[in-house]
Amino acid sequence: MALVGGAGGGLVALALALAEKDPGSRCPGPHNAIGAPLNLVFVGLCAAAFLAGGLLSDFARGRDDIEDAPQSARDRTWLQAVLVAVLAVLFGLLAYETYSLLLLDTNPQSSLWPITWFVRCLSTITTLSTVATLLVVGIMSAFFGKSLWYRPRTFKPRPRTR
Amino acid sequence: MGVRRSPFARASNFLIRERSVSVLISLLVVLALGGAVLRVFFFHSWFLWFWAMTAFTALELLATAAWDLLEDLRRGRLHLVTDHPAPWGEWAQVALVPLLLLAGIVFDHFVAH
Repeated sequence: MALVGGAGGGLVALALALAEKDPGSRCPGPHNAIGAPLNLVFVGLCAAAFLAGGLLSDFARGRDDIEDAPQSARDRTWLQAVLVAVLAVLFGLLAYETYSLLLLDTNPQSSLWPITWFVRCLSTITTLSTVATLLVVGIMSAFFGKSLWYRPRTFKPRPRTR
Repeated sequence: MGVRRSPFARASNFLIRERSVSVLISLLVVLALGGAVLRVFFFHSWFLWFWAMTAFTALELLATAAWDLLEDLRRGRLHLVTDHPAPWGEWAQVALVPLLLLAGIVFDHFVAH
């Protein structure tokens, strides 16, 4: 679902770019592009989707103690390598965001835009892009809630009724 | 009758036994000290500091995961994140992420902007 959401977001951006709806030229104040109450809708949807993604995943979960198959050392190492790669990408994106914001702080004409500014502008161009952006961030937040909200699964035996 | 140990000795034994907790506390201390340095000397706006701290936190997580990967590759035993059951209650673990999420939203909305 997250891959579909991410791909959907990319397609929306590509479609808008091909339709000559460049968000940069239509967004004079990108930092405050999303005003109230739309900003609250975005924040509320992200938080709700995050929590829903985590809670709904409980229905598909079983018991840690009997269902986790033993992993080989090779599998564990590969999983750890993937984690390192994902965190490296995350660090790169956040470092770019900080750097681009710092550049804009000293030089407002800087051509390096923060990722969040681009998303803010993109989501306000048309009603369709607002709805599409809401959908994409909802899917991504739900995925993050499913993957990042750790809750231990403990086994509580049910009392027998007989 | 058992020998009563001082609270310091008990805390010290606990931190030695629970390596993940020691690492978590160390990372939080580094985060706090680094955050203070960044705020005082580099980022004079809360907004820029907030984003710098997200990158700094990601860097700490990356360093921790990279260390554990190296331990996996060299068949070492000094992993920073262990697979021991957490020494605190289930509800503390369940509440941690939603509380941090809420704190992040509140800080971003009311302080950083």
